[in-house]
Amino acid sequence: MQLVWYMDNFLIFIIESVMEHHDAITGTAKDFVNADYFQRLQEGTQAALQTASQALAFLVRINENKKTPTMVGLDFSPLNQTGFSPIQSLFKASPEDQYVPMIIYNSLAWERSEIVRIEGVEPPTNRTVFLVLDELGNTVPSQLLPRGRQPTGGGLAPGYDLYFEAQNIPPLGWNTYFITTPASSPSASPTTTKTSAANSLNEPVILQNGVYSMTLLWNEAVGYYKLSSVVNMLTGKTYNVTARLMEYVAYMDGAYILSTRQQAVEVVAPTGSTLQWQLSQGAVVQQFTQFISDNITQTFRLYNAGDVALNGSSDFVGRFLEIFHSAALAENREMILRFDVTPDSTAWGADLTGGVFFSDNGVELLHRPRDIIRFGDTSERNIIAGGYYPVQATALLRSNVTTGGELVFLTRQSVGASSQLNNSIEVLFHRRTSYDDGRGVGEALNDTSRLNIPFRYSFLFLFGVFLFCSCS
Amino acid sequence: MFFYFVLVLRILLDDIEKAEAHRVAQSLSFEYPLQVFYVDTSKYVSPLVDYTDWTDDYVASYNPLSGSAHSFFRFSCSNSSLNIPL
Repeated sequence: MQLVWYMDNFLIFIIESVMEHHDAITGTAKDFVNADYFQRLQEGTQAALQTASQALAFLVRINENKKTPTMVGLDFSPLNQTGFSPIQSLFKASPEDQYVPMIIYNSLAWERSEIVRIEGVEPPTNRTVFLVLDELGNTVPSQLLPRGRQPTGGGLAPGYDLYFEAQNIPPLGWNTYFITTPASSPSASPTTTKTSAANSLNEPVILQNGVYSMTLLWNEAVGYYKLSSVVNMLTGKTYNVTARLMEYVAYMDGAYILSTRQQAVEVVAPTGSTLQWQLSQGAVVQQFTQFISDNITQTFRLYNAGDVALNGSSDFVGRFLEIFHSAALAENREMILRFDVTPDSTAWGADLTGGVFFSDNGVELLHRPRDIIRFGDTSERNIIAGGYYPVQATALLRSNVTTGGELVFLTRQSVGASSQLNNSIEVLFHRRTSYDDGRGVGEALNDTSRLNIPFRYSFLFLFGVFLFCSCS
Repeated sequence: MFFYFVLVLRILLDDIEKAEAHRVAQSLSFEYPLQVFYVDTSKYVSPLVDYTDWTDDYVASYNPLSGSAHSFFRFSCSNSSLNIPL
């Protein structure tokens, strides 16, 4: 057994070595090479996950006389393109009134309380609810969200997503939760789901927890909802923040070079189409999903446990607005999400030229200047490209006013970010061009794939709530 | 006055360090979400009809920092019988 574990770990070791090649990091390789990178990485990840599952199965035994359970690690990462969730078939096959232990492991070095999402679950026949218990048998808040209509090629499994609060998971340790599907459960709070068929379009959508209240307003010009304001519930300050989904038109650029034909323009829903959307609100999470077109789905997600956020856990998920995009692009389009903060004298600050932009280099945050002319080239496309910087984990826009605060962006995978305008921050997350930029790839960056990518945003306040929380 | 300025500087530096630590914590928590493992009960020795079936036989919670004595007081097992290398 130990030899198998060693071989699995050796496999991920070899694959990680390949992944350190510069083309693997930047994506500047031919299509078949990129596909091979992904396949190897997924194989290595699965092998490592299997090793971790088996090791954990041994650790949970009280003594050697106990049977070692068969444990399976769940992979909900974008790497897992199969869309298959083994737990779905598990609940279908399980006898009723059976408990399924779920072991939640914390791989980081501090105690964490977070919302766990298990994708693609489906209750057995004649059962409609899931109940989640902690190891003492207490019911923990949980919520079942319908996955809704998936656009063509979404690649997601059918069924539901189960959310529940995993609290106080020790560092490098685990807690066990038990999931069961009782015949009736009065303690399970229902999820209210509204769809576009039942509501008028002009009704504002409000997502609110103990930290934020966010308002999305219908926009006639683009044909879908846009984030329009954020209220910090702790300070009462209202920030006029607009989130715009936009596209640059590619100008003969490719894997190496970013070159755009003009300033970004907003994505518009197809003419004559009726927006399909779904708003689900329950005990754990609030989620608004809009199907902007067959190729673009946008989801805003806010976790309810805002009160827990004040218990000293700085990284608690209630402090973040999660925005999830599932998008495939038309030819020669490069998609961004841009946040614009409207200057004001009460919250962000009234400086029209404000907004200091930072992005990280993997080690620290660096101040990134705006409107830089590089190599003496004053063309618009070079100024746009010159303002883009790599982001490994985080970028932020800071108000010029000390009490104004920060708009912080978090990502799981490397992207490009920029501040093209004052008080503005944008993230470039998907590119498709039909040209080779002549730097050696010999192929166009014709990425027709549907990208499923989550981002997190928080609205922190440097000399207000933020420092108060940091001292707690 | 000198000590006052040193104190103020120290507090500011401390806050900046904490702010950076918070950013690191936030990005790492996003990048490395809690890992979910489930036990395939179809291959379990017998169906679990109650959560106590599991907690009686297996270690349902483990905190390597606080130590086993604190971690397992709620379970009917002794520290010495645990299969966890400490």
